[in-house]
Amino acid sequence: MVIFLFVLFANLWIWRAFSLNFIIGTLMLATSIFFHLTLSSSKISKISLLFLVLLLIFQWQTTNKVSLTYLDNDEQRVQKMRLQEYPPIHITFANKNIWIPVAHWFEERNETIVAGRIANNFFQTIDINQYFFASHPRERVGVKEFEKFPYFFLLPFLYGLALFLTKFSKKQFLVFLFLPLGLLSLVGYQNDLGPYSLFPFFVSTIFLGTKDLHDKFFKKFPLRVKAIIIILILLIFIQTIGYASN
Amino acid sequence: MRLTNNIFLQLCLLIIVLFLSIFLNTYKLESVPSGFYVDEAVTGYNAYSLLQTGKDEYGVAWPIALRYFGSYSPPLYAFITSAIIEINGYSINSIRLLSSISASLMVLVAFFFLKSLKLTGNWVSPILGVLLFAVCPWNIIFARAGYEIYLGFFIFSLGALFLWMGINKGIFIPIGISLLSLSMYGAHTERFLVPIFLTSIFILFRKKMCMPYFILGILLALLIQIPNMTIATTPAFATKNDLFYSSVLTTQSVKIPLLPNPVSLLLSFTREFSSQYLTYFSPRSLFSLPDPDPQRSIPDLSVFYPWMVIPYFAGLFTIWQKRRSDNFKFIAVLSLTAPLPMALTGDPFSTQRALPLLLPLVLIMSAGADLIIQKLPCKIWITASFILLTVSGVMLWRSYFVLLPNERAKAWGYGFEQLAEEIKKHSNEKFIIDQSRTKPAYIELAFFLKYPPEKFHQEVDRSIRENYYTNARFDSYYNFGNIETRNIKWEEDVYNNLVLVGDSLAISKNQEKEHSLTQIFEIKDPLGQVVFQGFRTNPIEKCKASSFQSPLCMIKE
Repeated sequence: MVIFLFVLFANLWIWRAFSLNFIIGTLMLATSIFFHLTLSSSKISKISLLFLVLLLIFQWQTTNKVSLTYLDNDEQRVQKMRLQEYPPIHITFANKNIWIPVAHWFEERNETIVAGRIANNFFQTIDINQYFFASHPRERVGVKEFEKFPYFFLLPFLYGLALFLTKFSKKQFLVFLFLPLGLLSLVGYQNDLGPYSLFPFFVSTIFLGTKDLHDKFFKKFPLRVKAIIIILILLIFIQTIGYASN
Repeated sequence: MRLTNNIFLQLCLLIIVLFLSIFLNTYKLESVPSGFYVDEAVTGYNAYSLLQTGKDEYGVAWPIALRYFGSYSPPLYAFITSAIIEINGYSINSIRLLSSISASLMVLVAFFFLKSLKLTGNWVSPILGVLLFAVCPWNIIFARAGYEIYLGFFIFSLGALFLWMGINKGIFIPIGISLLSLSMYGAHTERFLVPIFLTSIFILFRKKMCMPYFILGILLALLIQIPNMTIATTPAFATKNDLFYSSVLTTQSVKIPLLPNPVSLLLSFTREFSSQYLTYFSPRSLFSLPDPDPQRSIPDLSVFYPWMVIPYFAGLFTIWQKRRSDNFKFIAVLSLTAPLPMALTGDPFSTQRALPLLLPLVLIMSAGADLIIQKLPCKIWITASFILLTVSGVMLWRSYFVLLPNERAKAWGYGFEQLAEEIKKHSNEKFIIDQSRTKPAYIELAFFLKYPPEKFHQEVDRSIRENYYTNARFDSYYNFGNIETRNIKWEEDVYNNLVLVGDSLAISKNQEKEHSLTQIFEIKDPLGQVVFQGFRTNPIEKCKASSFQSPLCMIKE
């Protein structure tokens, strides 16, 4: 329980959520707790699902949604330029040339633009650097980045992810990762709190990794090593706060 | 429907993939990418100079590291290219050919890697793996670039393959280690990567390796390194050290005023290194964003196709599940060591330096593809593979063969060939090439003018030749033939009979009018944007217009 509380509160994401919108903060907290409580079960509890749905509704409502087909001035300029770049392509059939409008298909059709936008949103959402390094070294233009979790949680997260996939219910994993991921791919990332509907998934995954690492290694370390690790964690936490306040 | 293991069919499919790779690596090689990048020009001209005189552009015989623009690049590419020029002639094609050949052979290296690592259960998976490798944008960008990056990667991968084979059969170890050592003459990255990789492999597999063969390999490697050792203490060997982000660390450490400076510096380094390292495995970097450098990326395409994220994750999952087996340990070492040197540089995701990461990532994806194949019915995965590869082919055609030649022409040094033609046309006039914004123009012009190397050696700064490995400072000022490359000196140049050449910003309409200049040519890129413009000076008109105020007018009078 101590480890879970440590993961839940030793991050800037939850505190930022509380400072910006108390309801969202509470929802993030509640969803994470209920998800955590049912983690080892193969079934998804109705209450945790209900909280997740509420969180998703808030994510939808609070995100500045950019149309999947809207092109700004610069994108329109590039589109216009690219339409001129394609060579004319035709197939000859019964002595007749049938022209294939590839330029139109690739550059102007809404389906192409929408697919590109969704892929872009999806990859922005699954960028691990966004959560542990404020998207550094590839920061996004027009987005106020912040480190959602201190980077000492990175290793437990990756380890927890592997544990999640191999030892726990895949159903839980799919619901708490892919529902928010699907929504975020559609609505985009223009939100002061970032993709916070993924917070419960992150907390649980980091918890799984931290717990296992704690039980397998940390517990067995001599006191001196334990002290060094705790000091390092504290220092990194100070660093994360320092970076966030600058 | 069931696909039985058929060696003959596998071989046929491998040959088809090999031909596809050769096609993708050589089709329109002369004109796509349009232009000729400055690194290609410097490699090409040095190879030509070595062929003609046995000396590089500065007149130094077969250097251990080629000075280029102060970068001291490993010389193997230029040495082999000089032979290609002899056989294939002096052309852009010849300079790019070695990368294309290396990339085509890499298909076989990847195939044998997949076979010997026994990563896949299905016999089709290795073929799918090499197909992924052959068509992926990361591979194609550098397979068609006429400088050393791909050659270094190819020799490194071949060395790694032999080393892996050597773990089971000791005789291959000396070959593997020797090839790894040789790759350090291939490209800069391998100079840093090989020691890290070799040490990691030794630590992990020392109990399984045949020690006498390993020691023999190390001795051979040291023997190969003798030329490098002779310059190891000179600045020529450490030119890439300035890529380290020391200034970033200082700026970042200020953000933690609570902690003593050494502690905050150490923390800043930990964060910077971890974030740089992680970005090389981030799906956003691998499947969505292109390299920030326009010369090293393809419009609207990342280093892999977006759909490849599925086999990537499946592959990571497989690797994790089989992490205790030797083959997966080997892939883990290969992939985890590859970005280590790059994580010490400030560039976010440098595809050029991180090229050795391409092979392990493809191996991981192949393992992932195999997992998917095993789970899906035959008809479904065959249809899905066909659709995805067709979509990839179309995406590649659009981005690489349609958009890139137009949109990245300037980044690839488009316009120098045409400029050289203009210089040839006005061979009795003196040209000043403005250097304020363009990359070193002297070497592009020397290449396209096929300037005689013996003459060039006489005209370059001779002090460089005397302190070849210690004088790393590059000065873009060159004066050879009827060309001078430097910034335009407005207070002097307009009073001499010259042709001033610059990009669209170098000479404005007002300056043209004010200095009585006459435009004689304009070179545009495929998008119609001005790359170079040339203006003839008119000293008499200029003196008249300025009422002979300049002392240079008195000399003219």
